[in-house]
Amino acid sequence: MTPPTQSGLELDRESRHKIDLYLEDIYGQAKQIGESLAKAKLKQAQMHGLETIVSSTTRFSEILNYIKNQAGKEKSGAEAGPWRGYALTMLDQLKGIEDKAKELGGEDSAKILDCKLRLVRGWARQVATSYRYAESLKK
Amino acid sequence: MTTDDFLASADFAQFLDETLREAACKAVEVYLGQNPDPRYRAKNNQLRKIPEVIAAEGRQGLVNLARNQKEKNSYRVNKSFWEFVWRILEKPEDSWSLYRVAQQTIEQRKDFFNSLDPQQVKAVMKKGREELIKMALPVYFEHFCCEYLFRRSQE
Repeated sequence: MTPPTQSGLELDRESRHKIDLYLEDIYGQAKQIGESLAKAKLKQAQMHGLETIVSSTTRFSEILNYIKNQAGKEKSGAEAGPWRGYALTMLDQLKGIEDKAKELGGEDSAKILDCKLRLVRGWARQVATSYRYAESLKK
Repeated sequence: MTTDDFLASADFAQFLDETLREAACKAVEVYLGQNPDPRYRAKNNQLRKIPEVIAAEGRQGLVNLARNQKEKNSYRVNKSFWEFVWRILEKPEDSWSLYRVAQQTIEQRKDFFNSLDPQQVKAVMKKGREELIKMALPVYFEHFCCEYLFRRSQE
């Protein structure tokens, strides 16, 4: 079950159920991102950084900007670093999340914001879990 | 609803999260389109000054920096970049400028002006726009700088 966001908004049961169903739908994509980041040698501290910003922010776009900034900081060269290599894919998945939140929230801005954060936190948990599992298989 | 109520509302939070982000990303797209050769675009180090100046001196500080740089910077590439930043802040003609987005957002909130006579409306709109710009400025440039860094990383 998706936990509440920091806003404390009581989301209706139907919306929470739809969020859970959507997270099930995108599980495969999130899993693949986690595995890809492990394969691309993303450091544990960097994954932790992503988890920290996702859990602490109250603004969805701050997460998008974090990913863009990480990609921007990586050196250019023949082999793209993990952020450069996978930022676009992650941002595409987050675009899907944002669209879903707007569908669920309708005209209610507070509900849209709440849904965005619930969805992105669910997504980040899936990515991080998959990343850590892939990392454990390397050992 | 007053402008203060709006600036504290979920509608404004959603505006910062999405509307403002779309405008800032559009601004980056326009800048990259106007400067198609990556060799003649501002280096990432030019962007570092933006959040520092906003934090220290607010909008006027950034306007002053942009004006000085567009007039006096010795590199054509940098002059052109700061001219663009200045347009974001001061020019309402461009759909992606912070000034225009703020103006439109205030104009769309008819409920701000319900109980006012026409003479008061103009003053309230101006004050509302300036308050909105003040609060949106650091977020707009967060979106702008991150999008710029990202787009350059993907070249």
